[in-house]
Amino acid sequence: MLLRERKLTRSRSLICHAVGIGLLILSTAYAAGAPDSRDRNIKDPVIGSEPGVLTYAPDIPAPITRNHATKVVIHLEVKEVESRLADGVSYTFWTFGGKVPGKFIRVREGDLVEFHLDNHPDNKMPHNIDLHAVIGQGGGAASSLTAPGHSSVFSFKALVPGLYVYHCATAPVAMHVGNGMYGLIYVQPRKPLPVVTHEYYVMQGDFYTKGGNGEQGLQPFSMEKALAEKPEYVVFNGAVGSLTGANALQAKVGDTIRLFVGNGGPNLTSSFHVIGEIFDTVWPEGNTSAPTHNVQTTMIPAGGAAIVEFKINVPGTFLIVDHSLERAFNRGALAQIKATGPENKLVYSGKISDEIYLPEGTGIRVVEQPSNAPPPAATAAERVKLGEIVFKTNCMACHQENGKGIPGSFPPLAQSDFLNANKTRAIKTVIGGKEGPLTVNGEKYDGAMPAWTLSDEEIANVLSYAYGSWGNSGKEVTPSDVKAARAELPTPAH
Amino acid sequence: MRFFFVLAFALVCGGAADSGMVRLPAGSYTPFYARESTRISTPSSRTVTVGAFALDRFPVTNAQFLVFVASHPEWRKSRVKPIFADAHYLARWPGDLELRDGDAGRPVTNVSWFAAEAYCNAQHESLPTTDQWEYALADGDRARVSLRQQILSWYGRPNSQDLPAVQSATANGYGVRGLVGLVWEWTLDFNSMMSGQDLRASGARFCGGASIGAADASDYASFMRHAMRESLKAAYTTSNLGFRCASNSP
Amino acid sequence: MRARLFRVILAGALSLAFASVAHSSDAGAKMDESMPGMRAMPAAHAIPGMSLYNLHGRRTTQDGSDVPLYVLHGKPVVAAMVYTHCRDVCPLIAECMQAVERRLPTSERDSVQFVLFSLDWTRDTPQQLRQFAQQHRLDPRHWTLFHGNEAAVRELAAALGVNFYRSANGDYQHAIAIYIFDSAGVVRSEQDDLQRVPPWALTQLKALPRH
Repeated sequence: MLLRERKLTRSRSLICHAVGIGLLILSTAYAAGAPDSRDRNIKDPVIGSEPGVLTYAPDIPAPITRNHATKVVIHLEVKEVESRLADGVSYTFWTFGGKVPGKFIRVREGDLVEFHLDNHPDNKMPHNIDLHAVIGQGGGAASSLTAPGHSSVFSFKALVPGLYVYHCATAPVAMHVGNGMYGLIYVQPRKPLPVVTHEYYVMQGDFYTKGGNGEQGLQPFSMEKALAEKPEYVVFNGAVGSLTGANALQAKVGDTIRLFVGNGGPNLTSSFHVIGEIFDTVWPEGNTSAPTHNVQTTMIPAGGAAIVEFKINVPGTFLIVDHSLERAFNRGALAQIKATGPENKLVYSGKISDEIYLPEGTGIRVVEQPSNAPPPAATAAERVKLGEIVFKTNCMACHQENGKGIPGSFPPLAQSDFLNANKTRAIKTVIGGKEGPLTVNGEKYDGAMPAWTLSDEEIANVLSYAYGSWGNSGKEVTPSDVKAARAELPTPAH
Repeated sequence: MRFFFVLAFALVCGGAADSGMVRLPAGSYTPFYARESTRISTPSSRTVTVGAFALDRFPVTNAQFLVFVASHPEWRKSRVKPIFADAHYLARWPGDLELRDGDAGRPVTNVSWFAAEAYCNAQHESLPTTDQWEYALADGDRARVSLRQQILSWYGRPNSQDLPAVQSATANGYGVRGLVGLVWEWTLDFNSMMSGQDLRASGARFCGGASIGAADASDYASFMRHAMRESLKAAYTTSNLGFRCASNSP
Repeated sequence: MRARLFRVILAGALSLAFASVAHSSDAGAKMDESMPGMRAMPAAHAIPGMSLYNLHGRRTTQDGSDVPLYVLHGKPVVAAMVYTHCRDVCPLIAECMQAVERRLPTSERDSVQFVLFSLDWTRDTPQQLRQFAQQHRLDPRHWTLFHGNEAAVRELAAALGVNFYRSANGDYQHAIAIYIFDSAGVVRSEQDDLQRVPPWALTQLKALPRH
């Protein structure tokens, strides 16, 4: 009697466990958008029809609120246009919609997309499109090879949610993509991501010009550099400075920012990072069902995407970079988020104080204290020489070795009106840092220069070097000049 | 009245530009895509022989085409049948028998394959075959690298600029001018690219598929030319597509 | 039949009159110089702009008649471009089209034409085509096979969008497709998946406007 009861109980318990585990697996699979979500979206009835809303970067169409699939009619025009790649540098871009990156497309899971690829009659080239959201031959490329003055139409059902790259896939693909033919299509999941304050569209790409970085004029595409995967420019949104200065993304303390980030390539992978922020949530590789949290830098492969989200706790200018740093500081992979609002000293205090540091035991050895600092300069020429070292160590990353800075981001020192006009002000800028709008040699800047913890001697040396180089006024700055300027602070340097 | 002036001008200048044809000797070249089969071919079997032929020195100009439509009214802009030319046919011409200022000496564009072939037939000639055209371009391999660079630079040139006059084009080793840098050009068998097993060529040559079987995957210039031909249908016209004629008779 | 002929002549006469009043042009009825002795083709603008019957290349049927494509007008056409030396797919194409023929209700069979255009301008003489037709038992009441010279073949292939390549040994690689034209010669539909041809063709033919 007892034995049978026990057996029944055990088998019932086994069944319960099995059912429970089964349900768990099913629900995870469902939530993760497993293959059965494709079937569901294939069967999902399409109700009604609407024209697609497409936007230029950095804007994104508003979140979709309808709770059913519909037919979305999309027209995307290919245009070959000459426009700015960097200051004084122009390029013949091949674009989806007239700009790089191509327009942002937003649809919902299950939508039936009727896609019209229109090739402007003035264009020279045939083009097509491969959307990574499409399941089908070539992602649409097989059905869309279009001669100039013609239009190709095909349709697809958005079976899998996520953020996808689209790009031209006409041979030679590396050249079509290398000329800027990429963009993003977002298939919004049935259960959308939570609402945030701002959604922005950022897309990285590498460019291969015949001339070197900065060489002026209309630059043709360089096949050799593309084959060698050695770009001259690596930029966000199609040009150096597209999202800096007046074009920086705006935010306020308390906002939650969501970036839809793509990497068009054609060749480089991005190490995507926002300086001064941490991603609270990353949906890696553009998936929308398995986020990770608390990420500093996320990899975005060429032909891939990611969605990143973070809260703004303190004001400041947060730099968006590809953390392969040469690209950020020398090739243009740099963008800005300008956040305004109240400080929060608990989260980030800014510099509290500047102190002398004496290694342990110094009180006894003060007379023989070893010093790594070079002896003070005896002559003005020596000062300049020592100053060069300080410059190269601290200032060169932003102001560049030739003193020309980076247009749109870091002002020049070479023949700088700001520098040459007021020596004291220059000293105070090095000591106290500088933030906010600034005009140098007629160009506007709106960045942030940190305050430098350097000795009076070092500041004197580096400024003397700056004044003595690149055709500047040749003034000498002495340590006593620096001391005097320090005494006048904390008045903000202007 | 303006028509007669232009026609007279065209007859005079059109004739002058038609400083005729260049004779190209028989020879061989390596086509960009081997056509015989999908099997891996040895380098030597990839070469194609081309018999001696004559090719127009310059692409056909607007002035020359005007003379043609004057005497072949079925090819006028207002009368051409849509099966023979699409809605952009002779888009630049202000009227059936009118040219824009400066266009007389420029290559005629916005002409379909049917129109181009009809023009050549009227001269008792025909469009060159793709092999003949590519053979002329290859120029005996005289300057392969600089030719490629020239072509890539042309692709990068913005389209807003007017085309240059054909007389400005430099000659290659055969004396043929302007195969690069002016316009894409129709060939008699532009529709002869088959992609091996998949005999439906249209659209099949995309992405990675195209680089399989290409003679030189780093020759971006040739990829573009073939992609262009593949995207065309015979009635299409574009503002960067013109033609020249060839003759096989001795 | 006579009514149709009358209509054609009337159309021709009217447009000739109209044309001579308007401009000196060729809008009137036109004798095709390459086909002496043939009846006048209708006025150019009576044939729709997208009709294949605007093509004037030199063609000969398997019976040896030099005819313009226009002879096909008046009844819908199921057509393909093939060549008789083709070992693999061309016989299949013919069979597919015969399957369509068989499936048409008997009453309708006489009102549809089945046409094969040869790609092979050197080897597919009218005699060769006749032999092919006999071999495949193609009903001469419904089937016409055309030989064209090189220019005619290229012209038609270009108009239909049939990509083809003629190799040095005279063989062809070509796109596979079956076309349906309406009674005025305008292409209404094409199908490249041979397996789907019979049901597709029947649906398309049914959908064509009757006259």
